[in-house]
Amino acid sequence: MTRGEIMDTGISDQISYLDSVMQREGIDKCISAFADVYRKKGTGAIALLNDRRLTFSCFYILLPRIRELGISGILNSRNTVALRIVNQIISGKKALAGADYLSAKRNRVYSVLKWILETGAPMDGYDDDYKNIMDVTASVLIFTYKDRSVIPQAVNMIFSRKKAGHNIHDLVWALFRSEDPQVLRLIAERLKSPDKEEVELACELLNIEDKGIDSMNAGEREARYAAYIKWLEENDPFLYFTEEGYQFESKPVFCAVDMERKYLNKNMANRKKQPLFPADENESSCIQAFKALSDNDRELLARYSRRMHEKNEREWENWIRSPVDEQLRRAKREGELLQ
Amino acid sequence: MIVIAGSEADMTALERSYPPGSTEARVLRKMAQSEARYSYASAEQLRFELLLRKQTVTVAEMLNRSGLGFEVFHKSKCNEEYWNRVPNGGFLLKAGVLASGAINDIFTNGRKYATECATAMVIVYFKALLNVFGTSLFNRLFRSIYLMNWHSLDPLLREIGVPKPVTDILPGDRAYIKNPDVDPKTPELQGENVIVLSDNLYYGHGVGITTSERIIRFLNQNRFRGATRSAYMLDSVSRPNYKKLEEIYKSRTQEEIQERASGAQARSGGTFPATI
Repeated sequence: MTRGEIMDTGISDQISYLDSVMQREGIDKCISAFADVYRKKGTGAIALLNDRRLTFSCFYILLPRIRELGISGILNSRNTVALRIVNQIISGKKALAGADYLSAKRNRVYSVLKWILETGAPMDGYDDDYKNIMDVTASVLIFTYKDRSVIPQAVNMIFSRKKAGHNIHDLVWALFRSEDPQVLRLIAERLKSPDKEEVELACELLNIEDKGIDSMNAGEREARYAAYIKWLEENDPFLYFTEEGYQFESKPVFCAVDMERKYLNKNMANRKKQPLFPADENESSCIQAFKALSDNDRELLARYSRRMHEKNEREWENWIRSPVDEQLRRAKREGELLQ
Repeated sequence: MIVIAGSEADMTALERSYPPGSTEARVLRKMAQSEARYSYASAEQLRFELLLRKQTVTVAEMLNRSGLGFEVFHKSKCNEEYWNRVPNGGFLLKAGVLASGAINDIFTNGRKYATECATAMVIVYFKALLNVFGTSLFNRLFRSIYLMNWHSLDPLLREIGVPKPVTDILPGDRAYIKNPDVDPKTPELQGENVIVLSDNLYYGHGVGITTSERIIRFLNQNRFRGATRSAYMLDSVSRPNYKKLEEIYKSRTQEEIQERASGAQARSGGTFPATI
């Protein structure tokens, strides 16, 4: 079959012939259609595989046949690299004969990884190897290539996987390893969902109590989302990622607020918790006293300090120089005024 | 320091009950020398903890010899005579199957199973409880078991998924060696869950029984290029709620006590304490 013949069948320009067969008639039919074309004209079958519109999902389901026919040596560069990445991941991720496709940055590998994730995500969960490939691809794109554009896709995959009962632990770990607060915003969107399980997962990932989900109406869900976004905006300069994960504990806290920095209005240099070095005697004594407070008092004082700093920096300068017990009394007395 | 019913424990009497160099003796010594205060309502409560710690260590050594394979959750496997593998890679006890038989099967047919390091730790604690409680009590308590790292833990073992900072890391604790700069292509090596066997000997599924230095070296070999941070042992560990479990143990029925006593004698030639 030639490219012209594909177009004659009325197949959309946006979708490859093999994908259209897979979508319309299923995976088995797609595999047999590919074999039929190969029997009639080998080069035509190779052209179908090398179609720029081919999805990774379609490529993946044809892999056993590609291996069987011994045609992996004549694939185009995208498919050749994809095949090597798949082999590396499935074989335990060790570099094969010196060719490690998943460690150092390489432009060609990057574009293929991106193709794998973007065109492969809709069929995530197809089989166990496929999920493994998606996990590692997302992890390498997010961490090695610092590609933040794949984060929304990774968040979607987490929620759809969870719904299907599949494992999300490594994908969640990869996502939070981006140390990008965009992750929190995207997850928070799910707080508005009418799907209870989605809300529960969002609460778990954001470390929000999930009490009362059953009885919440749309307005209440929206209000909770708004409250979280407000919290996020207030705390954004002091947020850090904890590097906790499901491998170590049942309820990891993925992200937290550095209360000492919030109290002293000192932004984080990056998204990792760093020791705080007081600038002068006053800061040093404030921090000592602050550390001795209860969790609730620390949270109250940090919030009050942040809000006061935003409203009136000069007044804050005076306030922070007063004794901590006096600061706390004032925060308890006037806290509501700063809401 | 060890405190029993409000008074400092008589260490000489306690230590006489256990052979020198045994797990129990090592735990006792470490507790006694610690700055932390280990308080117990009774000597029985302490002895139960020592017994369960001892069993945890023994069972970890058994699991290491069982042939249990290492696989990520997406590729985990189990003996489907006893367990259903669920889509997320966990193992759910089959309907109509006794929990004791299913847990024992992992140790006798280890090659039919493969999972990650965290689930292996959960298996260790279930088997240790089975050895201490005996079959009848264990099966009464665990009508259903779901093995899947720290997720959906049975309420009786919930605490093993909740690490806390401790003064002393003791044999039988579940510790963790974290690999913060792990290579993104090997998420399963982001850390290693281990059972503490003795002062510097640990069981980790996939790494076997070895020292912390060797585990750290192994994890460091699986970091991304240009990594700056070494793997390290966290100062938080998790422990079962020994006191809650001892309460349950005390409430055994007469039949369960009998079964436990005869089973223990068969296993250990009569030296294993049927009562504590």
